[in-house]
Amino acid sequence: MRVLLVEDETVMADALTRGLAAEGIDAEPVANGLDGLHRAREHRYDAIVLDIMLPGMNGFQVCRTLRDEGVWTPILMLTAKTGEWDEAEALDTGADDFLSKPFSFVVLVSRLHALVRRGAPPRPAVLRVGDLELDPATRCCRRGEHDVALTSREVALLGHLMRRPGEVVDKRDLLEAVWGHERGHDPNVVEVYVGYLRRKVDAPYGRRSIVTVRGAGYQVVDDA
Amino acid sequence: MREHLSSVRVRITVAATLVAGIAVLVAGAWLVHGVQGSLTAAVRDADRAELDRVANAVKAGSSITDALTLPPGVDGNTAYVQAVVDGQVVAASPAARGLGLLDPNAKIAARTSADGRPGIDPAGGYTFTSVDTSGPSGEIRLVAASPLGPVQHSVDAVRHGLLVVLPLLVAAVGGLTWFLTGRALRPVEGIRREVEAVSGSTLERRVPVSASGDEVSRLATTMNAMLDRLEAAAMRQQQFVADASHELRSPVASIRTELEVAQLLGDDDAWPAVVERLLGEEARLEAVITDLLLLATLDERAPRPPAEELDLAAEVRDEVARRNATEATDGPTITLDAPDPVVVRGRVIQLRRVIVNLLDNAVRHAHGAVVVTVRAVDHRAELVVHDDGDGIASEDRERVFDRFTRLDGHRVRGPERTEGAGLGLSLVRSIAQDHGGRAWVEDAPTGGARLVVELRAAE
Repeated sequence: MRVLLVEDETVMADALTRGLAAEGIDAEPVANGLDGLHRAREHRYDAIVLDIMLPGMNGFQVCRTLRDEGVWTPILMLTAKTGEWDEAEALDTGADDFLSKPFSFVVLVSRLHALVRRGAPPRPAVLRVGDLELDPATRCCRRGEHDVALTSREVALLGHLMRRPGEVVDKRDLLEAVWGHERGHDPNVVEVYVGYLRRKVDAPYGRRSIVTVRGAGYQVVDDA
Repeated sequence: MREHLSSVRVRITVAATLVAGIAVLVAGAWLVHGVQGSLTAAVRDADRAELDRVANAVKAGSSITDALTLPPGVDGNTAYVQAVVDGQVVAASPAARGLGLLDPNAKIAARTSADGRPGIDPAGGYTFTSVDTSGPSGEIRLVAASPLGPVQHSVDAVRHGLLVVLPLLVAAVGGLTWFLTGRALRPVEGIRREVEAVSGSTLERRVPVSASGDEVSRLATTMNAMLDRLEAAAMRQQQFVADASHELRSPVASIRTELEVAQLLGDDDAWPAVVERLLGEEARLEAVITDLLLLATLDERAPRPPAEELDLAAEVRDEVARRNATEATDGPTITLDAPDPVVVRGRVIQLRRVIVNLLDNAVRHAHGAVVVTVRAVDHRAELVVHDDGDGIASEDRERVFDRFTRLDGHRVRGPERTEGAGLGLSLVRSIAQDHGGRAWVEDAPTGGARLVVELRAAE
């Protein structure tokens, strides 16, 4: 297993490299964000351990840049700062896991193994179908250059559809996924909300990206 | 809270209504009294004129009876007039004929005349006037009495009018006060609601400021300024805690990982190297803790060790000599320009800290040379440390004194410790200020960074 270790604390980086080597993991240490970004682009790694406070370019920026460029290598972020905001921001920018310093070495190794097991399929933090964009974390939706304001229910529904672009999603699946925990919803509520979504993301731009497939469900397509 | 607001409103309204009520009552009483007085005086004046007319007629030779009888066709006074000689009524006006003696002092008279006409009401409903004159038969006292009934009617009319108008006036004052205080206090309620919503986590909220420019809107403006300061302070505090946490946790994390890995590897030969690295991290941790504690002491205005006199130039000379003896040969050359003793009063350990931190900073950034100058200027001691490094951009010259500020670019951390935690210059400034001095970054025409610390010279 090959891991890129982006960490500016030399003692930490050195200890981790030796320790990971003993676990059969080949770690390549880099001491700043820009170098880390270059390495991650140029080479294939099974995972990246990324500190947040880095000289040159911080961990959030490195992570976001990699994801924007379509690099889906699993990323585990490290930070010595307190507060849940760092953790939330790390995951929202596209990191897969998070550890706060000081951490247990054993836990770090287990999490790296778990990350590598899951592999590196594309799992974008921001969903895109054609020029329709949705960031479920920030609830930002954009059609081309235009911001579209959506309610949280609409975000959930559109997100569920956009995670399977081109795939027909059954109405009951949508009901389950978006309204699942609430009992007694009429399946027609899905139709109603699809109507709301069309009025917001399609109709004003003369588009038809949310398609009804009779008897099957709905699909989101790139209709441009 | 709503009740409190109302109660201010209620209190103001009640007070205003009360004051208006009292004022109106006093004014009304005064008006009634004035009207009564002037109308009574008018009646008395008319009686007096009548008596003068009778007296003049008697003097001119008319008989009293004739004089008391009005010429036909002349509207007379309604007064009852009697001519009294030695306590006996000798003549009376037609209206007063048959009445008993009118006595201005006792204000009494017979109740009814002999022929049953209404006499004089003893209840004081009359005004009495008298004139002494002399006629053919000697001294005559002329006495007139006039009913005050018509006066009382007028006064009653005024009083009734006031009884209707004045309560309306008071009610209007109360209503207007209620309305105006309500309008004036409404923004206060808005401010209160916003301030209530402001908590530690929502300091970005601001209270509404009305455009009126009155006291309430000025209060709102002041409150917003206070919230601005609070928010800035809270953000600085959060930033400080986050930075301090980072600086403390990083070496702890390194120590833990180092130890865990050493235990995992179980390589006995590696321990000396492990210990060396651990000591390096421990030293870092210790330095951060020491600096943080010193900063906390300086912030707290805690009792200080006593100040003593010391020669700043000598202290700097010692430190420079120590460095030149121990510093690696590839380090920058430190030149000292301190020909004369510069005596200041201060706490030696803290002032040495200033010197060490300034030199650390200069050595860290210098390309090859550091020049240290100590001199007395007027009543101040000036310590200038000038390095030939890249200098500090003007927009960063205040920021370098903030806690945990490290101008990015050379943040390589580790045993060689080329960077501190970013507390060095912050301490320099805090200590200088604690000694009544200042610290700042100056323009250096020759390039590089020029840090100046100014202290008060000892007397």
